[in-house]
Amino acid sequence: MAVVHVPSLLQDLTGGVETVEVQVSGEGRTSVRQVVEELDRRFPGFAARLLWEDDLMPGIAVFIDGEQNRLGLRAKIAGDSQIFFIPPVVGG
Amino acid sequence: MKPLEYHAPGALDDAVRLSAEAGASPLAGGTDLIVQHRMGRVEVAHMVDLKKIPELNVLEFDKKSGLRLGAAVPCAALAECEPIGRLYPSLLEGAELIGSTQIQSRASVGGNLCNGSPAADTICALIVLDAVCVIQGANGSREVAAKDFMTGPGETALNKGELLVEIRVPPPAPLSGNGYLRFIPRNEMDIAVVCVAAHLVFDKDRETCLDAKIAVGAAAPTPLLVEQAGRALIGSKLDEPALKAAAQAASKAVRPIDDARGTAEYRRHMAGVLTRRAVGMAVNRFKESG
Amino acid sequence: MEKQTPGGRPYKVIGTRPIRHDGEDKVTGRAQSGADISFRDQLYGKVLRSPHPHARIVSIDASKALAMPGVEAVITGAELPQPHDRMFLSGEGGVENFRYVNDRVLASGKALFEGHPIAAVAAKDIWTAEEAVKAIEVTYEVLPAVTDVLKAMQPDAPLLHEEITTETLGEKKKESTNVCRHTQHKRGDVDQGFSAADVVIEREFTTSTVHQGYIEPHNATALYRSDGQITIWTSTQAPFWVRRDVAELLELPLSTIKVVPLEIGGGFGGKIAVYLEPLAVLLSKKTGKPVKLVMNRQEVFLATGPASSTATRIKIGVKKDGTITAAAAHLVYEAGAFPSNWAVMGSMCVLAPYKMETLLIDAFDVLTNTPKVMAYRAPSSPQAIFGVESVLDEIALELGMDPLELRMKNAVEEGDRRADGPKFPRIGLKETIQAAMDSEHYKSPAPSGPNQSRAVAVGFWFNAGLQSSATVGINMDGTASVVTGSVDIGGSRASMAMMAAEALGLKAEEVRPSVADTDAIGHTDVTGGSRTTFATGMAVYEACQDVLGQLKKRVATLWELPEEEIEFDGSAFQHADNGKDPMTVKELGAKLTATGGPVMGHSSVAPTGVGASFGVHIADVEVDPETGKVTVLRYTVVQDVGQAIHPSYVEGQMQGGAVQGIGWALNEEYVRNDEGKMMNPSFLDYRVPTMLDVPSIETILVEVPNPGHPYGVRGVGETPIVPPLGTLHNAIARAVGVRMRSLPMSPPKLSAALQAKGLEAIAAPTP
Ligand SMILES: Cc1cc2nc3c(=O)[nH]c(=O)nc-3n(C[C@H](O)[C@H](O)[C@H](O)COP(=O)(O)OP(=O)(O)OC[C@H]3O[C@@H](n4cnc5c(N)ncnc54)[C@H](O)[C@@H]3O)c2cc1C
Repeated sequence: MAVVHVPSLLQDLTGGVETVEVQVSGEGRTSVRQVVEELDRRFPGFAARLLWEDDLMPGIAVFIDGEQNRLGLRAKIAGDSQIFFIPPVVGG
Repeated sequence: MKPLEYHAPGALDDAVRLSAEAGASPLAGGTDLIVQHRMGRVEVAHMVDLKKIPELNVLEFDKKSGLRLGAAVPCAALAECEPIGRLYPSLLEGAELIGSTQIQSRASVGGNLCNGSPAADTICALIVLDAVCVIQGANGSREVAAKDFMTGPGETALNKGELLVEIRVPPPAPLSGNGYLRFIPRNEMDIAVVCVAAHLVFDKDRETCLDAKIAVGAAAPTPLLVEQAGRALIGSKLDEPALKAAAQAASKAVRPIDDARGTAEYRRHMAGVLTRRAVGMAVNRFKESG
Repeated sequence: MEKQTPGGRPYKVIGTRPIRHDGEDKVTGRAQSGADISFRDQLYGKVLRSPHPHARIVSIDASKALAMPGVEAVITGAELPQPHDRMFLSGEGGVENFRYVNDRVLASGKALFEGHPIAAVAAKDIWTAEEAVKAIEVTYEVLPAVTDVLKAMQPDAPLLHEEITTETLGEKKKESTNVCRHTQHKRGDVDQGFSAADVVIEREFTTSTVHQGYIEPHNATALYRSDGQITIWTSTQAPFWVRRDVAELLELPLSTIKVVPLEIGGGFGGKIAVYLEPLAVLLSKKTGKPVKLVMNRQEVFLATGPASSTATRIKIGVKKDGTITAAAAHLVYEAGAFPSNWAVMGSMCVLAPYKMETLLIDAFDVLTNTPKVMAYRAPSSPQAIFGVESVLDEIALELGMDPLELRMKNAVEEGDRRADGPKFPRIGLKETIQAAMDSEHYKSPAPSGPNQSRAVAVGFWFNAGLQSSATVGINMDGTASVVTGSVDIGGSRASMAMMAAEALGLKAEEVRPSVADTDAIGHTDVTGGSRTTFATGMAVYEACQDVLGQLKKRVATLWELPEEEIEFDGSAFQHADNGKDPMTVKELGAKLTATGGPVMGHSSVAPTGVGASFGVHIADVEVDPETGKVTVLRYTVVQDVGQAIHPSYVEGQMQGGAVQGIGWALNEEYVRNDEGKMMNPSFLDYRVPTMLDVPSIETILVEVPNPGHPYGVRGVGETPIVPPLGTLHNAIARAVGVRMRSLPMSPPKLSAALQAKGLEAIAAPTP
């Protein structure tokens, strides 16, 4: 099972639940997009708050197991992935 | 920077005449004037360079008549004139605080005074040392005491067309000491938040203060000779009550403002703190002088 | 095992200190900076700026200016293409909307900060341009301004943008407000966490707006040719972003614009955004001549991007043994006049160094009538961590615990979760704290004179990856040239050359590094985010691998042996048992022509594996209780630097960052009057530390190689600005018993606090 860490400002949709487990079909075939769709089925409104024009909301990146993945919605996850939606970082 | 005309007369009369013209400004080291012109704070059409005029380049000391300091002499020259550091340490201290080595090679004490800043680093020393400013105009020359030379922020006793020629400082009394210090938040490249000069004359017992002058800068529209502070010290042995009274007098006399360099409240407080410290410096100087 | 090349060999070049390749030009002043560029028929530009922090622009009449002899063009906001919504990645990591970049470059409708560009002039010389600017008549309707973040949050505060409402992850509130974004991170039940604690301390903090203070003012020169091709010469950290921004603003294809980055006199995050470049292009388009614009210092302070002022509240709970059970942070960040993401960054840094079961972070980006905040070295981290380090210092005193011990007890390590969620990879916080504990400075007796003390604080920055390109060419004598798109700010030419030399078995002096313009190399992101040695270094490394692959084929041809049997051992190509002498890259140079021609390698990377960096600073200070002036007696920077490629430049980064942090802590601030105007826009009254204000900063390099980089590189440039705020604050508190909790701790403020406390109390400090 992969684990999605629900951004705290979306936890109003999950009834305060911080992490949600999602079933991953076959190693390396499930995409972040499918995960978001799955969450949207379980918690209606989830996708609308995270997506913008068929992509992640500007200012939100997907981190899989501690690394930002630039493929965004197209990124593939593994059976034990930890998934976060947080802002990317640049710096000065 | 806007283009302008540059004159470098060799005679004082020519300089006086040129300076009287509309749009003319005397130029000594230029470390105030050129900066202000570039920033558009003053508009200058003619700069009249004073550095080639012999009268403004005098630097001599005589035991009886004291120091003659030409208005265009760069601050860096003061350290090389031996009696200044020994007899007028407060003046040298002020001159050596101005800017940096590079700035001091250009900047003059005359320019420092004529710029009219209440925070100028040489004025307080000249006030407590009883210096006199010698001024030349089209109608002749006159003298003004250093304590009356500055009349407001950026304003001086000079009328349009008048030039400061030299500064005369009488020889200090035999049993005396003087010192100057300023407070800045950093350790260089800054303008005084408050500055104080002290000049003390002692009795033969080497403890009783016979005469005392305290001048405070950057804490009022002009530098102030705080007579009450001096009076608090005269006759005392510079004990704690006397020092406290002098510090309080200085804090009371100032009329500071709030600005980017400090609050009025802070300047009032610092006028007292620095008065004590300047007195301490003057005492040490006296003791060191044997 | 740690200090080795990926092939397991000891380093030959990395870790040495060769003379930097650009050193001579820079110390002799021969290097060409932005303002040095000049053309025969060049015009000079000048910007008319709003004197008001907030005003409606009723009308602009430039007819008198245009009538002046020598004035060739005037532009206003009306000349820019209509603003449109389009998001892009900016220096702050978050995103910005081009609509607001447009508005920032030239005001439309309202002036939103003092110094906001209203119009720009091109004239035959600079004083004509200056006079022309004065002749432009603007009618303003002055509006009430708000420059304080907490006041700007009030419901009755003057509104900067009617259309802006608070954005909270995909949800937009309905009411107009200056609070443009709310960010939150949460873990567990923080109330429960606090009730499990033995000691809970909650404090409020403020910091003032500060500027990067680079020596070189912004500049741009542009030529818009009649065939529509544009060249821009400028000092920037990000030539490819300048190209993107100008193309976007003027609605032009990228291929029509070439950006030539000139030597840069400091940036620290402040030279990422465009200010003058679009104006120079527009003025050149109108006049057909090259147009040059250079800011003065006042313009730099008023109208470029400083770092946020902040108001924060930090609450930390610990067990008696020092274990943190919960922490809460409430962060309010100045955004400036346009939406920003600085509180977002602060929220990700604030609790990053420590592990804890429960936490709650709320962060708010707030619009104010001040210049738009931009990146400044570890942007947002110093202000956030300042409060945490101060509260931890109080906790250490309350528990009677050594302050480093307390940090060690709670320090994150590999596998621990960051406050914003993801797990840390291999990091070196614990090693860094240990190195600080073991340092001669920390072990020496703390200064014990009156009003003296010692304190510590921790700092953190993520570091960035982004995208980089590099080419490596082998010269016909076997030396090499390295070309990258990364502007050299901190000695990157030297480090690129050294990494290439290490990879190719050459000496550092045998590699010539250069920085290309946007036509001459593949896309490369900003020199910033401490990413250049890491990511561009990775591109150089990969390009060298490309070269080595091609060279191996040449050796195979020469030796008439199969390629697979040949190996490069870091110094030379070898064959196990053919009896041939090993062949170096140097030797191969002369044989390239005969074996197939020139060899060049290239690489473009978008690396992951970025290594975060932690630092610990130790300061000894003395306070003059009468004047409130602080003297830093001794200062040591301890930092995990991954692998130092050129240790001198790593030390330079650590020292420079510390000095900027010391300035932030002690004296630097935008002083504003009641109308919201800046009172100190010059280096005379905006007080960065001078050489005489800091002791020689000592450095201790802790090398915990980053597994994400072939040479173990971690970014090092940003972290060192973070700890000084807390370090000096804590040292002052321990010296005189007054916790300021408000920066800067300038003499007037510190003196007032000391007087309020009473001088007897100072004589016997009880922190
Ligand atoms: C980097 C820097 C640092 C500085 N630091 C300090 C400091 O620490 N403390 C300090 O007090 N000042 C400081 N200053 C200000 C300045 O250097 C001093 O005030 C200096 O003494 C001015 O002397 P000058 O010869 O350069 O004057 P100028 O700039 O030549 O002249 C100053 C003004 O006086 C007028 N003037 C000059 N000579 C005469 C004359 N003989 N008769 C009539 N009018 C005359 C000029 O027209 C002008 O208005 C600093 C300046 C700079 C640029």
